Amino acid sequence: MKILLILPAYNEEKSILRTVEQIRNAAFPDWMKVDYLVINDGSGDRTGEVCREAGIPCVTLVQNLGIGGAVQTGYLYAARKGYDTAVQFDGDGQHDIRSLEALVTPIAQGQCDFTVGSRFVEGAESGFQSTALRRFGIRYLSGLIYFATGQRIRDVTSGFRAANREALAFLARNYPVDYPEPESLVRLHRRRFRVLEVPVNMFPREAGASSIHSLKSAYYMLKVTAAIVYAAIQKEGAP
Amino acid sequence: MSLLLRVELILLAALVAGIMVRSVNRNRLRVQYSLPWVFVAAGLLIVALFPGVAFWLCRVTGVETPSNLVYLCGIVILLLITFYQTVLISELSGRVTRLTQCISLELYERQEHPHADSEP
Repeated sequence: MKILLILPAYNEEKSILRTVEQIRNAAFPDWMKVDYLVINDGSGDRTGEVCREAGIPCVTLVQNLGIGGAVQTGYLYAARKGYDTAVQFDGDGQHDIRSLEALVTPIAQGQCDFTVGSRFVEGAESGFQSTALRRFGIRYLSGLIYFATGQRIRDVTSGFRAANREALAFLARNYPVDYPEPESLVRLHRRRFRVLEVPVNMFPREAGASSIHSLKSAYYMLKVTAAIVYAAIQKEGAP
Repeated sequence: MSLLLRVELILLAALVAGIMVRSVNRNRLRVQYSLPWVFVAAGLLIVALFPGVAFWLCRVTGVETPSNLVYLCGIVILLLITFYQTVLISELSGRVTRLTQCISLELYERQEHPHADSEP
């Protein structure tokens, strides 16, 4: 199975090398053929140069698009190159490559179309659980998504996710821009893609800043709420 | 409706129409985007020339004076035009995003396979 790891990176010059080292040193079973691609989202620092010097495949976006536009670039590439599975994997070293197999196995077995790597479901090695306030925000969004889809997904903002061929083609065409993880879950659900949450391990952030800032978090919640409500109202099967 | 207001409306309509014609001819504005404003100018002109229309509309809608009606219409039309523009902006930013992605991927492919063009 051809797997593409999409590594969105915005000003990650300090952590991108270590993240890629983690991937290069990882051992995968034979059925997993893993490639990776850094999407450098118009970083102001040396992320692009660091990748070039280290021979890391890296698409540098000619303009900053934000996390949604960057990740979508990866899905677009995966769709064009005929990958079987595309996996979002943060460039800041938060995600544990050892959890990759667990994340893509349900897709390889045809159990579902899209998996969300989760810190919160049973079986997750809770190496990193985030702050209390952020956990509260995630619970709220999780409740909202349950309300919108009838499916309980706990780690709704997780950026460690895998999509099969059909789901990644859909996401290549149609991906939310701003804070895309929770909204895209609802959109996938409306398109009748089967979403499954899988326990994974995550680390505390090594360097770089979260895309969610404390000051903006209230407005973030409002925007995501609106995005989820809009998506929930959309007719099932509509584009 | 006072004569002064009617004259002002006519002048305003002429001004709007003039600006539109000028902008289109100088390639600063597309004809399709000038149309909403041309309709506004036409509306102003109709009300100024035939105040009866405004009085009739007032009776129908329950607005007290024609001048209030003119302001109300103005506000509603501005809101509609603004909404139309935010729709355009959203469309445009979607296109810019897609363009950025395609150009960036294209540049990446060339850098990875610099001689791809010369191969058969």
